[in-house]
Amino acid sequence: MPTEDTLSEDLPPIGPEEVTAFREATLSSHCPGIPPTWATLYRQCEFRWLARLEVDLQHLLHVDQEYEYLEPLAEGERPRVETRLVEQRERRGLLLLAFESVISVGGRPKVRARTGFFVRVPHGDAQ
Amino acid sequence: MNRRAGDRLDPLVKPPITRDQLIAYAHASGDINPIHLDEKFARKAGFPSVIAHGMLSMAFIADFLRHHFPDDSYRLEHLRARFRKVTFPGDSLSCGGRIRAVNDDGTFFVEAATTNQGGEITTEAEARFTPRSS
Repeated sequence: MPTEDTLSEDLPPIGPEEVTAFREATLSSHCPGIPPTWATLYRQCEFRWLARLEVDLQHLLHVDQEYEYLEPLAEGERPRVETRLVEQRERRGLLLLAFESVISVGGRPKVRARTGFFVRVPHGDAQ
Repeated sequence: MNRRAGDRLDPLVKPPITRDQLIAYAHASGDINPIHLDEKFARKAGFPSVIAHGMLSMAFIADFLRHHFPDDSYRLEHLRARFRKVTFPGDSLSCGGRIRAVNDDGTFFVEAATTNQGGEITTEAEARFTPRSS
């Protein structure tokens, strides 16, 4: 059941070394600066939600990811992430979970994210 | 650039996924779910080996899109990916796509996907770009 409960976390400043490591790991040769999927670093609250829901990571499949970019993130900024559980329902033996997050800096929203998971039994077909 | 709805975007082929890459991505992204790193854990989950992070495929698509819509000319407003099939170490992903629509104001709506060496679509994505001059 969706809840109004929001988990939040203040995050360390965006460092150039971390950005470089992310660009190298993702082979992002065409993305100058901070790559578009950098916001995946701010999923701590999703994992806290999953722990709260007692989800076994072995049965967790990430099936959907969406970003809306409001303003660019920049090195040196200290983001804050707030994450809500917005969907929790069962379908054909799978538990569907969806989280919405807002990544903001100094109170200004910069990225909105929506993450969809299936919690399944083994032998599924997504990641 | 005079691009129209229906135009296909030249594909971008990434090198085969390696376990070292998954480790590097796990550390760089903070996603250390053992299903991407621990063979035993992955097998217990029903997979033949560790699986690549879906977000790594999404990052490949983002790089592919940025190749065609460079950051200095286009603002990326929206990006969505749906992870369809798992990717394993050794798999080679090719990114492809097409322009679905172009608005009068120059906004581009783009579809993209990663395809593995067997021709299977592993990730589907959609994106919206606006020209920076508008």
